[in-house]
Amino acid sequence: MESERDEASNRHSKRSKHTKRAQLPSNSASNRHPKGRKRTKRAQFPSNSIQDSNLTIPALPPELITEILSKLPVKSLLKFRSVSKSWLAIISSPEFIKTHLSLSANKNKEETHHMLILGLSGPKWKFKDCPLSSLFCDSVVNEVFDLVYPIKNASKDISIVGSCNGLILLAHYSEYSLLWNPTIRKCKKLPDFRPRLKINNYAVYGFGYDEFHDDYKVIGIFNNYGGSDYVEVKMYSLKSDSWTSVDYCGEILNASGSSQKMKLTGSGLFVNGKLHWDTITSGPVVRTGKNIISFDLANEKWEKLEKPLVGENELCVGMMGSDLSVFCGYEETYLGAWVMKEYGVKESWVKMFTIEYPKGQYLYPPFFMSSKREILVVFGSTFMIYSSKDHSVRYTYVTNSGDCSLMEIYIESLVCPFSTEGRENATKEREKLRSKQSE
Amino acid sequence: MASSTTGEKKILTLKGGDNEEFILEESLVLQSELLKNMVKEERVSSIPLPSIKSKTLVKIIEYLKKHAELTPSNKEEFKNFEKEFVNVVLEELLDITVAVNYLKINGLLEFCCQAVADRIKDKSVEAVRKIFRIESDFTPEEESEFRKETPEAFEGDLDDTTN
Repeated sequence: MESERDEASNRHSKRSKHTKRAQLPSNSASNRHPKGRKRTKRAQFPSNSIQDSNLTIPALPPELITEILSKLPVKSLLKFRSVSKSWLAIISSPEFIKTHLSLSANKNKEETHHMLILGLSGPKWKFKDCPLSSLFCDSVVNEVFDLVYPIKNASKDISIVGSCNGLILLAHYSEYSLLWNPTIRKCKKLPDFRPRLKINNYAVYGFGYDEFHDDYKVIGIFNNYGGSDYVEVKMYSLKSDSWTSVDYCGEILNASGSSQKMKLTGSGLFVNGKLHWDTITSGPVVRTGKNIISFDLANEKWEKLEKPLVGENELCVGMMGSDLSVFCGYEETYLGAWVMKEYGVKESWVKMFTIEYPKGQYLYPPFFMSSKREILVVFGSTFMIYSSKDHSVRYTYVTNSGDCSLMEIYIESLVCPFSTEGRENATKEREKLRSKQSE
Repeated sequence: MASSTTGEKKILTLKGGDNEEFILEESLVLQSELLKNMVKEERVSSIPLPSIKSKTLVKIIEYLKKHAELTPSNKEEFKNFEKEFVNVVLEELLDITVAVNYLKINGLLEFCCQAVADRIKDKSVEAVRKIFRIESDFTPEEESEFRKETPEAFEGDLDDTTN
């Protein structure tokens, strides 16, 4: 018996790679086979070997089950919800979801739970994702998975605003926005808020987590394109599932006394409990401003941060890891980046690197710094990894990422986009499904 | 298993489920929160652990010894030992994990739980039920709903419950 088991464990280790591949989606053909394999396995291990040990193995206490489950990846947890009612209860409890999230974020150092999501344009829009770690490890990334497009009409483009704790905020201009957790395949359309500016407006969003109120919040800033200076700011809370009005930062934004009116631009970047927007002049000549404007999701206060002073260069705001950063393209062939090491301290802006990049390429701001202090930089369809240790550069090829036009990094989590009271809603969803089936 | 006299060091006897006795230095068992409290509260020289198989106890004592010898210079060696330590059939790993949880050896518990998680993550729902001896308490309707939602969960390739 003993030797048989050893043999089996050897076989397992050899097969483990193969197993992973067999778990890929849309593999229905290979899914049909395992039953046959199962039978052969059973023949090798008589079923009474399990019954025998029934007497000796003590039952696992619930806290131990929880401990083991908290160490599983989300995909396994989704699967194991159906083991039993008690497992379902553990996996959908808000406390468990939080513990699991913080454990995954701690493993952050190895990027094991981070995914890179790509938005691909075309007649039909597509989202794909791939494990972030593979970009750093392999020279060719083949494990790029198709995600189910979160809205029915894939000819409508939706842009990625930002991600936080596994939730991604998507928006279709000022028309509507969605909260999406691609890992658990749940998407929620946010309610309409009847803006006073119905048409002709230009929307800027931001998305983050308010730790103080344990709530996910979306900020929408709606500017009028022409004429009026009127700006409407709305804040959505996932807990209350509703929008409220928030004051605009007009005074802080235009405090410098310059005759040029400024406005917020780009997607809000979530750092240190606050959302951050870059500033630009509101035309006719568009220039990037010298300040970053932040909004505190807990106390709803606007503030101003100064970018570092670097000659005449216009600096754009980005993120590097969990730090705020700015970057500029010197003559569009060199990229320079600075990081604010200590949040809110102007003196802590530190130059991170200058790297050469292919001419005439558009630059994506989501830089990512790995545990080995390697930085991911994306130009067009080129994925470049810059090592801050020895200043070397290498390239990673991502299969089928050709016409990628959107990019964001997210962490795999169980966080539900419906409400923080996950369990309650899960049951509701279930009931809905059931009633649909009976119809 | 009997050991000779160990000078002035305090000696403690652990009694496994099958009455096998393990004599070891008291300092070693202090890594277990449970045994530490037992030893502190009253002067005991023998602790019965009827719920832990001798085979499991042998493994755990092996770990305690290795862990006590851990220094910055043999860190790599210890890591390899840890890896080998959990490289046992799943049933045995679960026995160890349950015992470690009972004995409250915190560092090892974390490691064992991760090892169990790594071993079950690609398994099917059926296989996991078998491993943890869980009977499904869902109705057939609920079950079919799950099958629709996550068909891959029920068609796991790795249905071997022993590994």
